[in-house]
Amino acid sequence: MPVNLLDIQHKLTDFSAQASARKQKLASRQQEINNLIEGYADRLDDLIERVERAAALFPQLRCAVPREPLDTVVSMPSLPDRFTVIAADGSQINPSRHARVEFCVINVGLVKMVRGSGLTPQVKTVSQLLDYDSIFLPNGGMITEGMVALKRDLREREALMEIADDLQPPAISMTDGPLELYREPQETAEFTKTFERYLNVLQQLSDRGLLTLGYVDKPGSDLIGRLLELIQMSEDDLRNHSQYRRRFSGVRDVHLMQDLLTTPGDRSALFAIYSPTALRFGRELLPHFFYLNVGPVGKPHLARVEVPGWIAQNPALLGLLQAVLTEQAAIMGTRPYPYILHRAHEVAVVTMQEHQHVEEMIVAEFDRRGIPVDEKSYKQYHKDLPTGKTRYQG
Amino acid sequence: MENFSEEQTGKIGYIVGGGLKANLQARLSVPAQTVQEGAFVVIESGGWLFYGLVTDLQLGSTDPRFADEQTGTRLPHQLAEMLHGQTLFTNLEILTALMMERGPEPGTDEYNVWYQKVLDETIRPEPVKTVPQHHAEVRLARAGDIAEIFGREGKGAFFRIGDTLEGGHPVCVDLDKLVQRSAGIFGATGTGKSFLTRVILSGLIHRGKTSVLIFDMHNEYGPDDTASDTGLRVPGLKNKFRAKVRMVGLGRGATIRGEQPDYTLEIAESDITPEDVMMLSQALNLRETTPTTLEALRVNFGYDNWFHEFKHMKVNAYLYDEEGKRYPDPDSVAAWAEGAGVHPGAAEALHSKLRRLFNAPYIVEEPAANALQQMIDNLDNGQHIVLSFGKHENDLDYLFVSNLLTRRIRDVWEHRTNNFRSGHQGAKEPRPLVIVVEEAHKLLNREMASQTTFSTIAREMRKYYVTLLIIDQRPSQIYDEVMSQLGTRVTGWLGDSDDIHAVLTGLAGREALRGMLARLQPKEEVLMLGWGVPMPIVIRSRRYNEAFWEELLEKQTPKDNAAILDELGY
Amino acid sequence: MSAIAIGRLLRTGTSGFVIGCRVNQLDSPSFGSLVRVPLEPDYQVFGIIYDIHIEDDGLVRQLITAEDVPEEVLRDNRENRNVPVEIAVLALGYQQGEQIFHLLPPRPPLSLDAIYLSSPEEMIAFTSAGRFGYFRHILRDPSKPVDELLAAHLMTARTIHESAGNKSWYPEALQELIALLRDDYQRLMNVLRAAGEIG
Repeated sequence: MPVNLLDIQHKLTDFSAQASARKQKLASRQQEINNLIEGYADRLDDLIERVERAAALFPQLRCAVPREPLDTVVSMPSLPDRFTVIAADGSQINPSRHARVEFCVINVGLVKMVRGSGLTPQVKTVSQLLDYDSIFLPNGGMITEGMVALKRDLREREALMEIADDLQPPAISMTDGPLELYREPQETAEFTKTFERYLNVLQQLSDRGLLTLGYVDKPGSDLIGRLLELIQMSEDDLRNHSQYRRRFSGVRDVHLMQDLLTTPGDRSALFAIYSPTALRFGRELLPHFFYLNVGPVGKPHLARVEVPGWIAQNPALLGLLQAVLTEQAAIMGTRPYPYILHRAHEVAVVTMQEHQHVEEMIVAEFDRRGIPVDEKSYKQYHKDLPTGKTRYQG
Repeated sequence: MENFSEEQTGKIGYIVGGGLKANLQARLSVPAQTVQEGAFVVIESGGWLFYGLVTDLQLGSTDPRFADEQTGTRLPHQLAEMLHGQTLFTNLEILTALMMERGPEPGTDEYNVWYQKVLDETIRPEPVKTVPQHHAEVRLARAGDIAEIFGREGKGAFFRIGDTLEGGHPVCVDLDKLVQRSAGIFGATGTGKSFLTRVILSGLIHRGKTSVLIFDMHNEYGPDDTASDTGLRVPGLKNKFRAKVRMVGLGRGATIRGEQPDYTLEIAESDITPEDVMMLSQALNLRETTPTTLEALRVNFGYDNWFHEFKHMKVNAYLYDEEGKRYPDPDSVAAWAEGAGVHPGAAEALHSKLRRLFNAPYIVEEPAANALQQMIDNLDNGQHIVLSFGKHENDLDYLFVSNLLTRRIRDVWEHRTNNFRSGHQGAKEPRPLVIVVEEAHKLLNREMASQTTFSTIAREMRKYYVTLLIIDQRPSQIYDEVMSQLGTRVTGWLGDSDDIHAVLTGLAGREALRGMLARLQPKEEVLMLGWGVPMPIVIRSRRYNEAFWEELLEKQTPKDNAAILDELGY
Repeated sequence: MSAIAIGRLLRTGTSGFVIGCRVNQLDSPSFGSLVRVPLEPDYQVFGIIYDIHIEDDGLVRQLITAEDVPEEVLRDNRENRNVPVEIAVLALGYQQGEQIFHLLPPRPPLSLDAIYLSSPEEMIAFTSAGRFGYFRHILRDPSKPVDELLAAHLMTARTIHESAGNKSWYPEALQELIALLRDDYQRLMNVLRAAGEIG
C-alpha cells in the first residue's frame, strides 16, 4: 500500500520546528567551538596534556590530537609531471539465509593510472568467494555484515599489492573510507586476526613506497570537537565522561574547517587520531588526518584525508597528496571526487544480474555434485517478483 | 508429322483477370514492344488450349506514382530497373474465340490416339465456353497452333491466304467453307483489295470445286494488269489458267485490252424484263410513274416483246390531219400511251430515259450466238467466266448487265436445284457457283436491295448453290440485312467508322475488333472473320506475284515469306 | 565467437527483446547487425539490432563539466569503461537443430546468458534459408526505422555474400523487397533510396 501522505503531512509542522530548534542549537555550539579554536589555536601543549589526562580517566576516549596549530592552512604545491595513482574499492555479496545457498563474495575493483604518460589506465577486478566455513560462526549464526565489511576493507588493501608492480614514483594509493577501520569491535578471534593482517598489509604498502591514504567525502567526523570539549571539562566530568552525551554533539568538524580552507588545494592542520583502535597501529602507521578543499575556486568542497604516521611526518609528501587529490577531484568537474576512486567503485560494483549469476553457478555445481540446495525462502521469492509494469513492445 | 520448324516462342505473359463476356486480361512478362495488337495468342490452362487475339494493350502500375516519378534519375539505374520490373507493367486484352482439348505428351500411345482424333476432326477447336485459370500461361501462337485452327496448307480445301503478324505463320482459309455463304472483301481504296481478291480467286479456280463468274468491271482480273504503285506487271487469271478461264467481252466486236475475248456476249431484247429496268430507277432517275408504264407495256406486248416494241416507238412523231391539226403518229409513244391508258408524258419520259439502253450496242434483237447458254455450259463444265465490260464500264451498264445475267443464271440454277431435290430422272447436283461483284454498294444498297437478284442470292444463303463474293470499299452503304447474311468477311483498313461498324454487322460482341480494324496497316494487314473462319485473325495478306503462281501451279513446298523475299533479292 | 554482452533482459516477447548491458566501445554492436541468442542446446533465436540506446552515463556527464580532461582519463573511458547500453533486438527467426526458420521464435528468451554477433557463415546461412521470409518481421512495425534497418542489413549482408562468391543474393533480396512493398509507395521509395546510397 502506498505511504499515507496525509499522516506525514500532519507531522511536518512539528517536525520542521524540531529541526529548526536543533539547527539553532548546533549553530550556537559551533560558534562555541570556533571560539575555542581561536583561543587555543597555538596552545598545542595544553591540548595534548588535556588529552593525556582524559585518556587516563576515560579509556574509551576518541578524539583528535593536534600536530599543528589549529588554524593552520597549507596551500597546495604544484603537481609533478608524472605520478602514479592507484585506487581500490570493494563491494560484497552478503550471505543470506533466505537465498538458495549461503555464500559470500567480496569483489574488489582496482584502477591504476600513470598521469603524464598518456597511457590507458589499468583496470582489474579481484573476486573472492569466501570459504564456506567462514560464513558460519561458532555460535551458530552467520557472519555479520560488519565482519564482511571488515574483510572487505582488508581485501581492498591487499588487492592494492597486486597491482603495485613496476611503480612509477611517486605512487599514491587510495581507498574510500578511513584508514582506521573503525568498526564495532567484536573482540573475536576473527576480528583480531583480520586486524593483524590489515596492519601487515599497510606495512607492506609502505615498504613498497606507496603513499597510502583513506579518502572520506562528506566527512561526518567530530574528532576535533571531541578534543575541544575536553578543555572545559573538570576532572569529575572527565571521570564520568560518556561519549554518548557530549557537549558539542551534532557539530561536525568539517563545518569548523570550512571557513579556513577557501582556496582549492588548501589543507587544514594535521591531527593524529587517539582511540583504542588507533593505538594498536603503532607509531609508523598511526592514522592521522587533515581536511582538504578539493572544490574549485569559489565553491569549496572539503574532504577528510587519513594518512599513516610516516606520511604525516613528511610535509613534502603531504603536499604531494594535496596536489594529487585536488587534481583527481577536479577531473569530475562540478562534483569533485577523485576520479580514480570513482572508477574503482564502478569496477567493484556487483550488479543484481551478476549476483544471480554467481548464485546460479554455485547451485549448478552443487547439483552436479549431489549437494542439496535449499529453495529460496518464500519471503525472498515474493520480494524478488518484478514490480515494474514494463512490457516488451519492441 | 510436323512440317513446321520449332519456334522459340515462349511465354509472353499470364492471365490476371477478365472473363467470358468482357475479354481476358493478361499481364505481359516480356517487353511491350514485342507484342502487337492483333497478335494471335494461345493460353494453356487445365486440359485446354484457348486461342485468342490481342485486342488492346494497356500500361499500368501498382501505384500511379511509380509511373509519374522519374525514378530513373533518383535511384541508381539497376535499382530503377528492378523497381520498374515489378511496379510498371503492361496488360494485354485478349479476345478468346476458340478452345480445344490439349493432347497428351507426344510419343505416348495416348498421344497417337488423340492425334488421330484430331485428324478425323472428332477433336477440334470449339467455341469458348469457359475461361482459363488465373496465372495461366499466355504465349504467341506457333505455326502448329495456327494450323490446328485454320487448317494445314495443301490439305483439302485449305488455302493459304496470308501469314500471322507475329512469327509469319501461314494462315489458311477453307475455300469450300468460304463459298458456302456469300462473302465479302472490304477495304478502303488502295488497300489491296483487288490483289487479295486475285489470290482468293486463284485459289478457288485452282481448287476446281466451284465455278466462278466474275464481273470484271475494271478489267482487273481477267487480263494482265499493271500495279499502279510499283509499275510491275500483274498476271491475270486468263494468263495463268488458260482454258479454264473464259474471257467474255460485252458486245459484238468487243476487245479486252486489245485482245480478242474467247467469245462475246450480246443481250437479246427479249431477255430484258421490266424488273431489270426498274432496278435502274436510281441510275436512270426514273419517275414514280415508271412501274405503271412498264406494266402497261408488259401487258400489251408481253415479257418477250415489250422492250423491242417500246424501243421502236417513235417520239415526237406527229402527223397532221385535214384540218392541220396535229395528232400523234400511231407508231409513237404518245399514241400508244393514250391507247394504253398511260400518261403520255410519263411514257415519253420513260422512253427518253431508256435511250441509253436502246442505244446500247450489246442489246440486240437477235444475238449472234447464245452466249448466255454458252456461259452456263462453261460454268457447268468446271470452267470459269470473266465478263469484261470493255468500254461499257460505266455504272449503268455494269448494273444492268450484271443483274440481268445473274438473274438468268440464278433462275437456271434454281430450276436445276429443284429438279435435283425432287429426284428427277437424270437430274444431277448443280455445280456450286460464286458470282464475284465489285462496287457492291451500287448493287446492294438499301434502295436497290429489294430489286436486285444479288440481295436475293445473299439472303438465300446458297439455297440454290449460288453465292456471292462481294468486293467493296463502302460497306456502310450496303443494306445491312445483306451484310448480316454475309459469312466470311476479309477486310483491310477502313477509314470510316460507319464502314467499320458495317463490316462487323451480324457478328455478336465484336466491339473489341472495331479498334483493331481501325488500326490495320493499309496495304499489309487484313482482318479475317465471320462464318467459315474459326476465329477472327489479323494476317498479312499473301502477295500476288510470280512466286505465288509458282507455288500454286507448280505445287512446290510452300516457303515462308522470308525465303521468298530472299529469292526475290530483297 | 565474440559475445556481445552478458546483459540483463529488460523486456522480452515473441517479436523481440531488449537487453541492458555494458559494452566496450571497441567491439560494440552496430545497428542492423545480425545476432544470435542460444537458448537451448539445439535452439537459438536470430535477431537484428534495431535500436542501440546509450543510457545516460553519469560519469561521462560529470567529466564533461570539468575544464580539462587528462589524456589518461580519456583513454580510460574509451577503452576500459563499458558503456551502458540498451540493445533492442527484433526477432527474425530461429534455428532448430540444423534447420533455419524465418518464423517468429516459438520460445522467446526468458533469461539471457549471452548474445553473439553472427559470424559471416552464420549470416550467410540465415539469410539464404528460404526466400527472405524474415523481411516481413522487419517490415511489420512501421514505428521502427524500417528503411534504415533494411539498408544497413542489406549493406552488410551484401558484402558478406559477395565475399563468399555469391553475387546474386543482393539483387534477389531487392526484388523480394520490391515485391513486398509494391503497394506501399512511400515506404518502398524510402527503402530504395536508402539502398541507393549503398549503390
